Amino acid sequence: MRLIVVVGARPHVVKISPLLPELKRAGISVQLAFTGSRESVRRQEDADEEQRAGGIGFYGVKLPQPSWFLDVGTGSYAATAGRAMVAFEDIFVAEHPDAVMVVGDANASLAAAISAVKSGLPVVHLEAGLRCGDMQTPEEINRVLISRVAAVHLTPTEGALENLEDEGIEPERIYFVGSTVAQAVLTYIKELSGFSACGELGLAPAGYVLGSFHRAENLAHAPSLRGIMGGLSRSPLPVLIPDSDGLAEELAGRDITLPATVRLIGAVDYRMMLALERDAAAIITDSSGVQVEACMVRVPCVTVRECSELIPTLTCGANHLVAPDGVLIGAALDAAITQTRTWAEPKRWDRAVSDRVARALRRGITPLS
Amino acid sequence: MRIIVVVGARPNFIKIGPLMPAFAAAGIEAPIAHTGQHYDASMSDVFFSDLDLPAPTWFLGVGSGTHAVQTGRAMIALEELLVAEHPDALFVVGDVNSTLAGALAASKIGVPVVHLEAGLRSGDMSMPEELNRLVTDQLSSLLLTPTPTAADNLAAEGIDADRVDFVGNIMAESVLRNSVGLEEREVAARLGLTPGEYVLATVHRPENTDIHENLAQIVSAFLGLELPVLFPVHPRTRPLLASAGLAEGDPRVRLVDPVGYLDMLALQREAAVVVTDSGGIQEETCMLHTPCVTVRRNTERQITLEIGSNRLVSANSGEIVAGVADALAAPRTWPLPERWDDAVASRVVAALQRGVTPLAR
Repeated sequence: MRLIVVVGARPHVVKISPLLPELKRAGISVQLAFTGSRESVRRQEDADEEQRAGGIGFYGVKLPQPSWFLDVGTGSYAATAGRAMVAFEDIFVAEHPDAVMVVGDANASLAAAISAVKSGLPVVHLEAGLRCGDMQTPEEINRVLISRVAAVHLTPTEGALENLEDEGIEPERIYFVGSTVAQAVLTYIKELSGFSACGELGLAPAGYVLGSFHRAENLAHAPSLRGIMGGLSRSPLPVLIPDSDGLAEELAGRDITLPATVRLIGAVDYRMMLALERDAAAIITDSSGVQVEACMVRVPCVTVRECSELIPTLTCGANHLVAPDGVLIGAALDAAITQTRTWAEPKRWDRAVSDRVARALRRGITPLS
Repeated sequence: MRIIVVVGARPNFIKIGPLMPAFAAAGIEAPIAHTGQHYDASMSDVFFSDLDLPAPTWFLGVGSGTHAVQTGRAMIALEELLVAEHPDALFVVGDVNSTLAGALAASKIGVPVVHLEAGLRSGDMSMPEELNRLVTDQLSSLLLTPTPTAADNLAAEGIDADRVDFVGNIMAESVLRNSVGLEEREVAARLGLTPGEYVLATVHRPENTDIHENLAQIVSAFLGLELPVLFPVHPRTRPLLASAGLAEGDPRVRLVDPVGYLDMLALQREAAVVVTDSGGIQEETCMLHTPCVTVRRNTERQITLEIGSNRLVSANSGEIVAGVADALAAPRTWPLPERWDDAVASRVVAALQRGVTPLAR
């Protein structure tokens, strides 16, 4: 079986990295199509060694060399998605793989799924079935649409499986495999046992809160951004925020002052982020991946959103939703820092996720009739 | 209320024909954006004039290309238009690439989408139109359906019934409004054919024209019919016919260039039988009481099969010949489907006037 896997956003790198060795063992040949440019991939210090091994470092995660760099560039939704559709169509028509795997809810994932189906190729959707119920968010639109056109749905939670069934997806196309983000944490955290990322930044383990914000509804919305900063100013511990998505510019553009409790640093790679998460007293985020990671590294999480697609992190007690309001966030942080960390990990968030994916694919992919 | 109406291909022009005067009468501002997805100056103009359509306010010049190229270009152009114009809604029709492009572009910038002819399903994802339908319907705030079954299809995909309004089939209203005086056009006679004594054929789907064996089977069927076949043929398909077994000038199959909307209606009405792979013609023959034989593996117009105006055959010479014989022998009277009438446009207006709200949070 030949599979083209679409890497359309930074989190996808982490989500697919545990899969690749398992798919190889299962005799499934995988080629990667990366929507960024060759230059956008940050080379690691050991780049030479990786090149010898035929690999490449993405944001601190090692992946095989992509077969294609689409270099879709930046611009409006339609401009980037339109360019991506055209580039994917060229690849799919020329290569005609047995299937195309897309991940999660990125614009590039939807563009690839549409081009694949139009080229007569079945789509496998990794991290399928998550829903927040808000069709005003681009991610929800992308998820719902990919589910409509995919032939195989690999879900991270039982709830995701139920969501798909509710939308009329045939049950035999859905596999509850678990979260590959969770498996990635279990895989990489061992390699980080001697690494004190916070120490390098002059912070003590459990002596800080780690923040991560990237969603437009928080960054590009002045009242929300003001509420979040108000909340962080009430944090009993210093808040460290690696800024990969333009938080500093958004604050400056809206004349919002960074509270004295907050320290912004530049973007960090996956391993650094994971080490910082592991050693934090609590985490505050709007990222889906970070909610999963916090749960797996056993650090209480506060999520600044109206809803979460990752219900098991809420029900197991690892994660708490809060509105972008200063007083509420301050209280949620106090509670998170002092809460117990004895939650049970969600079902199938373990080391066997990629094995379940490989087994699902080996059962064959029946195209939609 | 101000909506932008997107059209991209000939079937779209037909669908907005009855709507434009109804919008105007109701005070709904509805400028047309023509993506230019199917653009050949002569045909596009003939349709606009046949249908008495107002000239498009915007012509986006998307042109031909692969699915991704057409969809991508139309998305980019429509996004720019929507950002500049911010209408109350984007009105898309049917299932062409421009329909999909409009729905994607609008939903991502928060402009509600209204889809006319929502909920049709062939169940065949190898048809590009099926993907366009599935995706457009998920993105639409208001889904205007042509048949009762369409609402069931949408419900099965998790779409709330309160977004769905059964308005009926706008193609039917267009036929009813344009079928007065068709005889006077004398199209068949001008082409040397006797009304009631020819088979009208349209074949344009890639699975029929681009798969050599299928085209050869279809040609063989045409040559085996007792009645002469009139075949308005796309210039792209014409050169493929010789190798499919149709000798140039064979009197049994008369090849003509594609014809305008009114001439096509006249030819359908006067034909003994129509053989087609088009979605719209399955509906038009139903309204014109001419039996139809559809050369496809499936159809999203199941209702025409149910009432008996249409039958499905595969691209096989024997099956097509048998289908034509069956159609000739069948009675030409069938009950018209519910709400395939001349009040569809007014139901669309009423639905819009009840309000179009963005998709729920």
